[in-house]
Amino acid sequence: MTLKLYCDRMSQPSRAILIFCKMNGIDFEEITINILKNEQHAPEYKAINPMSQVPTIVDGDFTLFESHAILIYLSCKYPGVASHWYPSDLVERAKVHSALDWHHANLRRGSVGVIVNNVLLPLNGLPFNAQAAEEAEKTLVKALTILETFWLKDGPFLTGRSQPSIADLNLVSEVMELQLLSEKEHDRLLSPFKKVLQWVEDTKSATAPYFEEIHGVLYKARDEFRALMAAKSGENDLK
Amino acid sequence: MYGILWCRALQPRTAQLPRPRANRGPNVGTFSMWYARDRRYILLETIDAWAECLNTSTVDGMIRLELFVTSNLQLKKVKDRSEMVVKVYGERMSEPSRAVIIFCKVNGIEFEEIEIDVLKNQNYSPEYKEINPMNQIPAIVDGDLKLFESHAILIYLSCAFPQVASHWYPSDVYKRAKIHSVLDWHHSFLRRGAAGFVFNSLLAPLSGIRSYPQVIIQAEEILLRSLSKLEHTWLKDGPFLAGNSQPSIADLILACEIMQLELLSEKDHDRILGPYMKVLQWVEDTKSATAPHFDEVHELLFESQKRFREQRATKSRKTQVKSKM
Repeated sequence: MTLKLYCDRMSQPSRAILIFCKMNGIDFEEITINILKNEQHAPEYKAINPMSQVPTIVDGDFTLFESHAILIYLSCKYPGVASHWYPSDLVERAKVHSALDWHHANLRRGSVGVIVNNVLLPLNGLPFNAQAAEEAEKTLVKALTILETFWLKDGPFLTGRSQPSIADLNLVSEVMELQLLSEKEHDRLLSPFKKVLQWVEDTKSATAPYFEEIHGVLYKARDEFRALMAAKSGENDLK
Repeated sequence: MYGILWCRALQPRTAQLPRPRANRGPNVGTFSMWYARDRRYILLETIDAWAECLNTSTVDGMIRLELFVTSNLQLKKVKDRSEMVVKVYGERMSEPSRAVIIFCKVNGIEFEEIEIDVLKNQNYSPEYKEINPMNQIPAIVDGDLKLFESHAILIYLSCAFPQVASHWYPSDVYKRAKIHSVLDWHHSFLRRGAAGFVFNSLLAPLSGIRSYPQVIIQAEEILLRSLSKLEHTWLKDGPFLAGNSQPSIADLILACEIMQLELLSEKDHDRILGPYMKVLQWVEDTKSATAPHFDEVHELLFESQKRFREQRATKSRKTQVKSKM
């Protein structure tokens, strides 16, 4: 029975798993759960994942959610997976776990906060919360600084590795979500972080051509959002 | 490959590999001898190979070593556990620090507990920054490895110490995946809710740090949602998380998180936790499974709870007296 992957290419962790499966030749069926249409709250999906979150995998009888857990499971279950994705050395593996754990409350929290406050709220006509936006940006900038000065200080990839691990896939997908910001905001936030930018490129190259292919949906949404925000801003100027 | 080495003297080195110092041996040129765990290893420098020393004896004033030479010996991984003790940096008011300390005690892992008092900002000292540049606790140092993030720490300790019982971090790929799943879920839910609520409603005001009512309400909302998920999803199939019949590292981490709610007033504690019978039973089961260490490591928390509740009671009496005047 083929692995089922319930995901949305607009979701950062979903993209990480899709790229991973394609890179490692894991056969899977992609079932889209559209987050913007709230499909994750449908009773059929709740029966699969009671947390109503995306992504989820179903491998025969076995259901699993949380993207880090999924990537580790796939690395261990499928023998064709190259060992650099989830190293077997205890110490190297511990550092990959450490980066994945750090991610939750730092890069992810910051990045999601910035996108929600600067893209999703205005798009849905909801009021802008300056305090929340400021907090989110502070968290994001702190996380990018730690990536630049700590996680990427010893190697092209996280934790001093010379080849990417599942941590790189997951965290780079997170940074890619910032593409949804205006070009000006994106450059303002990311341009000081040269190592981070290089690391994103290195991860793209290491997972070519799948990285760009999977991110196609995000790029399309980015172009649409930017056009919409430009139009709105144009209207405001006219007013 | 089996061989015999003769030499006049042995200078055993007990240290972290590699740091060889040559000792001349008559048969194979220079070699160094290392103790690792309870075995001896010889580095035969002339032929650039490692050998396990099976037997030593003294014959006519010369030392005879029986060796088994293998190039596959991964000596980088071998450490002398009797010489090295894990250092655990943390404090017992910190939920994840308690989980790591209890785990070490339950599993007989020798460790040195080094207190880092967060209220005194000791986590920002230059010495601690060397250990953990994130300035957070807990962190461990095991030989060359400096590791932070409590889930990563517990996974590492489970694998590095062979005496750790397998239920803590089962090798079965499915059980292990479910443990990873609940540990990941924990970050954004129970931890965010419980730690957020206790910090913003209680600890921040006590330390003179500003907290926002909106943040407190949001934290409580996340906490209640998390408790409901614990009750109805994570604990629906077994006494322990993810349907397990014995505790895993996930149970230890999450139970220590719930314990932080003991700092609240009795009224708030009962209001928040009272409806969740499975959760309350599970905390008791985790306590029993790790007795007596769980209670011992939580003593400091209960001392603080007593102090806070007495302070609240005094404040409340003063307010009542004032309002009568």
